[in-house]
Amino acid sequence: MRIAVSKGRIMSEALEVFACADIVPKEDPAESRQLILPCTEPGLELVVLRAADVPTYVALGAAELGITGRDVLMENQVPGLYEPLDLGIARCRMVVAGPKGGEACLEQPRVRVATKYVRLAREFFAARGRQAVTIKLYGSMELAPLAGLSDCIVDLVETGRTLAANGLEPYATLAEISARVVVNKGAWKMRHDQIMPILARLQEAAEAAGIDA
Amino acid sequence: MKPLTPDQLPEGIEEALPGQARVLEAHRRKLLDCFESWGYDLVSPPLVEFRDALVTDGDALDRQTFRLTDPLSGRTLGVRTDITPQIARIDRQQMPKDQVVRLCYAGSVLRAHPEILGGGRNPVQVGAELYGHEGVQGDAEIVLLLCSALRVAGCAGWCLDLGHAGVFRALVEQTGWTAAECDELFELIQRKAHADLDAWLNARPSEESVASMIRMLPDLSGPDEAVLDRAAQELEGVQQQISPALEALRMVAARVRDSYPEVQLHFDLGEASGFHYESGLVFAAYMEGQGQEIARGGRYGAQGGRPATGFSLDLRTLARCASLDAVERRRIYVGTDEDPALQDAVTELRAQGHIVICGLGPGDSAEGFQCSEQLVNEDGAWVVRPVAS
Repeated sequence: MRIAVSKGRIMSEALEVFACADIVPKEDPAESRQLILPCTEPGLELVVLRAADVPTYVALGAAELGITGRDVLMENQVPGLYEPLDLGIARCRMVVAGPKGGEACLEQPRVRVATKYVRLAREFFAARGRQAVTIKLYGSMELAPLAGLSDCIVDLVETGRTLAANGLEPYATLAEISARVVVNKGAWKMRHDQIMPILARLQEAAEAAGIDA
Repeated sequence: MKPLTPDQLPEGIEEALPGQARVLEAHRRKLLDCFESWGYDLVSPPLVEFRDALVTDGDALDRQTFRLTDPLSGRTLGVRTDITPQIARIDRQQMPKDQVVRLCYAGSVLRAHPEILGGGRNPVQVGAELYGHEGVQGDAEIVLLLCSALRVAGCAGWCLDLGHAGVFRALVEQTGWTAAECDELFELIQRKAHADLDAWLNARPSEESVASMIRMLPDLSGPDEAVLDRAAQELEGVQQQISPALEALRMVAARVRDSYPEVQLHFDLGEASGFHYESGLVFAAYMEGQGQEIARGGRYGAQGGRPATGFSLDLRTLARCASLDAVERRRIYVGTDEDPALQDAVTELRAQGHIVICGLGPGDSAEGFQCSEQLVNEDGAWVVRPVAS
């Protein structure tokens, strides 16, 4: 059984949940150079991937389970996945944000949006009857409106401090985001007896972590 | 970007080369022979039809359809993305209305987007359809036919997933939700997305008892009939409405266990395939290491049209995960010779099912055509001898 986990914040918070669920990699993923990390429980292993690759691995059955952000699932809409469990970790919001007081830009006939989430940004503006010019960026979204590259951004915010520090503010929330467990459809059917106990352990661990927090 | 050379194939368009094509064809024949032995008649609908005839299911199918304008009629044609609607049209137009009709087909379809991640856009769709019978016996026959076909193809260790659209239907009938709302809900249940499902249900006024039953649906899933017992208990509020569905699942599962004990079973009441399409028992075949289903089918179109059930699969996917090899035939080489007796010998060997390849000139040899045997003249008689290595 292979669990694909998103790198970064999801990984570090997921490891805490894993620890409560007795899913413990033999080596520290932050230190190890191994791409496949065996766990102390025989037959269980972790692979650490870029967020957007997790649904791909799981949908194609290269990993039976995966942990990734709801943002990635919404943006990529990979078919062939179940997402039965929200772990409630790595919480943040997906927002449209821009310069303080510049909210009127949302009503412009043609809005320039810098984002990693091209599909979601387009859908958001389409739902408001606005045409959006999406500019795909891979990082430092906050810079785009400051540098005049775009009118606003669609991005994840956790505390909003980076936005505020750069004179930006959220205009609207697109979605509440947290990390989810995804399961390959075929594995759900064929290895139900192995998948369900792991899901139950993760759910219990996530609930316990939720009470602590 | 460098332009593609004319020899390159468009993205997602696949072809089969020597060897591969033989295996595909071997599978195709085995499947069609199997269908025929169950009384399913082969039909061969055209590659293109009027777009309006092909696109019957609204937006999703429309976005998958390649279109072209017919210079003859001036109307828009579509290249088929799915053969099933064509078979349904044949049944509607050409077949007797008061009889059970069994049809099967095999052919290429073309899709604007691959249906699965990394999949091709021109799969070879093979399937069988049963029209004019509404009962569970028809469901059972189609499911057993799939089992038989996969056995013939040499699929080992596959899993039959059984679901029933009637369960979801019975639950949403308890609510006053619009068709669009039911579609949204259906999509959430298909993804087993509990968090989204909770949010969706909380945002809508509904009876708590119905909402809590809907919440159960994604998890009514498991390897044996205990799931059906659980469903009968947990969905007590709609027990009467769903009991025919549960009975149908039980009956079909029992028939599969009897006749195909090698097949692993799974029940999933959160599975209803395309809700618009399907109206009764639905099923899919999964295989270890495949990740996505290799075949799927179910009952559809009972309202208005003829009752129908059937399944389809992609021949390329099947050939990848099945163990059927094309029969190896002997390859025999023969050099150039005008002897009429030689022609008789060649004809005879070919009639026996062997491959005989004639050299065309002095440069040709048995090795060049991968022949391990050759026809040689010994004392005036043509005989097959191994090629000396």
